[in-house]
Amino acid sequence: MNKRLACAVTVALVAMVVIGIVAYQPAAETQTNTGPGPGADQALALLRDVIERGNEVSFKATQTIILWYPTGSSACITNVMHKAPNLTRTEYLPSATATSGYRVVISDGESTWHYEPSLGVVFHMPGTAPERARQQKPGTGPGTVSAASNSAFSLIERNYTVSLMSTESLAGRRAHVIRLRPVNPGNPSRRIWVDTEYPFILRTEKYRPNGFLSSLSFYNDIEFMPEIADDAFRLQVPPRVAIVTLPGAGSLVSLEDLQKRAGFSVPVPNVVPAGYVLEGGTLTPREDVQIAHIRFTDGLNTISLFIVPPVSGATGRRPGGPNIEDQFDAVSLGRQVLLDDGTKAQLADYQDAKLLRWLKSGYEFTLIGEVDESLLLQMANSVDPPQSQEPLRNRFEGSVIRFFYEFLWTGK
Amino acid sequence: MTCEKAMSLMSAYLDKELGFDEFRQVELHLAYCETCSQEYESLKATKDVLGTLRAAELPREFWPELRERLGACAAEQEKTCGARRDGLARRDRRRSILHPSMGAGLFSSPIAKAVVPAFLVLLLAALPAAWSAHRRAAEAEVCSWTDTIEPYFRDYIISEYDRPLSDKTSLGFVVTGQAVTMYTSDLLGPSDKAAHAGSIREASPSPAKPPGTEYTLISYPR
Repeated sequence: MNKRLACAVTVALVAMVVIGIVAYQPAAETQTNTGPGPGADQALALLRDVIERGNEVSFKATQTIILWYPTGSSACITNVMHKAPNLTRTEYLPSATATSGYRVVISDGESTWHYEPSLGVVFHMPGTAPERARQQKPGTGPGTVSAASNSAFSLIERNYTVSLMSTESLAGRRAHVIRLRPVNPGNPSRRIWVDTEYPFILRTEKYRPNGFLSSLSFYNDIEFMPEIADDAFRLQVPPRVAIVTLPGAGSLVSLEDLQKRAGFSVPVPNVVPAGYVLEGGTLTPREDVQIAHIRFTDGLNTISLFIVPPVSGATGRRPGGPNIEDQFDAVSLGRQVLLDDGTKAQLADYQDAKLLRWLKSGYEFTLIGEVDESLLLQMANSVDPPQSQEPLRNRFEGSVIRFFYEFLWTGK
Repeated sequence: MTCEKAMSLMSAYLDKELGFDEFRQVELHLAYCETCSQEYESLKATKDVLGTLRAAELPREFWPELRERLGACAAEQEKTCGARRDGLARRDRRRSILHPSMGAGLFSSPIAKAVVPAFLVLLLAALPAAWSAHRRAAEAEVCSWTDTIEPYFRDYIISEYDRPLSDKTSLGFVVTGQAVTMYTSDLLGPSDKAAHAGSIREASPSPAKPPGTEYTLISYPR
């Protein structure tokens, strides 16, 4: 009983701290960049250690997460257990600010299991590989695919000014404070607190390109290298709870392989923002078509481009039902912008990301990234898809139907 | 999604004529509801069988006979309705294409005799397609942009998992929250939602779900 009371008091105290932080207007981080930061070598060595050995640290902790969006904020407290190298159990506790209930997420290295008691459902995502296959050496421009962690590290080194700021106390631990500021404008920056004993990040602050804090996560208390039974990482599915299997994320492959597997020409941007390289692509099914997902990275940050190929057919029907042009015009995303060639595009904020969507030559493109919108527009303007291969017959049928539709229903 | 709603959408679902949202809801409902699932299989089987049937050939004398009968009917109708039609036509000369001074000449020409029925046939043939286009446009209007965009955003966040220095707990918070938003309307009916509003820790599954059954979304509703 006393234990429960103590637990409740702890949660209440943490919740008060969280509410205080959420209510606080996050300060802006200066985005200026002035060459190599102080203690850069030591900071880079610490980062390399975290990237290479971070998963080897087992721990048991309570973590707080706060996210600020343009439209509001969201926060929650979690209980996290990690058993090296790849077993993780995360319990997201109920939170008023997150408008969510209790949920459990277990990753066993093979799959991820997300139990959502409020729905009485377990979402099972198989094949959520912790580390994706990446070929080739660090990319030097569009068309190349970066290698794994090594290349990620070299990209960070190239694209960010890394500085060792100070040493602070956090969650009963000592931590080095490292700042990563982008060399190229329009990208987010971060501050991370790395434990002085273990290669482990105790706190992360992420700042938008405009310098405002967008997310914060920190450990309230943490115990390193505890004894944790494997049973803790097996989800005990209560009776009468349904398991819904969702497709997991596929491994990234080279652009060449992606083209072969896709069965359609995958147009990529001829220009990518400074510091970014093509990391690879993957295919995801959507009803009866495969959607290509291409990812670009600068080491820390990513930009994703989703490409829906042209679909032949009388109406040009896409997954989702409606004719794509109708759907595109009817679904309003933020504000409309024009690309350099006059193509209409829709630009929107989605949580902390910017999103740009447009149609060209029968393809549907969606660019997503936590970057300045100018970078997305720069990429969009350089995408030059092949001309539509839609058969003449289909175009004719489409025109006839459109004529009758307009004639009968809109009176045009 | 109720069984009644699922049944009403079953045929359109089978023909892949549903919008994204409805398609997703029916698919999930079928994964859960055995009765509807059986109905779906039955409907699908019927449709498959019908698809294999060949169209019956009409007897050779069918078309001449039909033409003859239609001609007789038309003549009869012309007698009884002619006077009335002329009266109506006079009342609105400007609008009526059937005005004797214009219409008689127009409809008596052999080209018009061929073109007008062809146009009517084409119009009738195009009606279902036009109706379908209208429905699609209407669906597009109700399709929220989050339906269009959320799957992409979800994939984007999931792909961030393997970034070095990424905070997986934060990413998990966003992804799981989004999964719940995306699937709540699919997995719970209106009554279920109300029942679940206050529950946090206890699983309160829908009675429609047989215990211990595992379901797979064959086509992920993106």
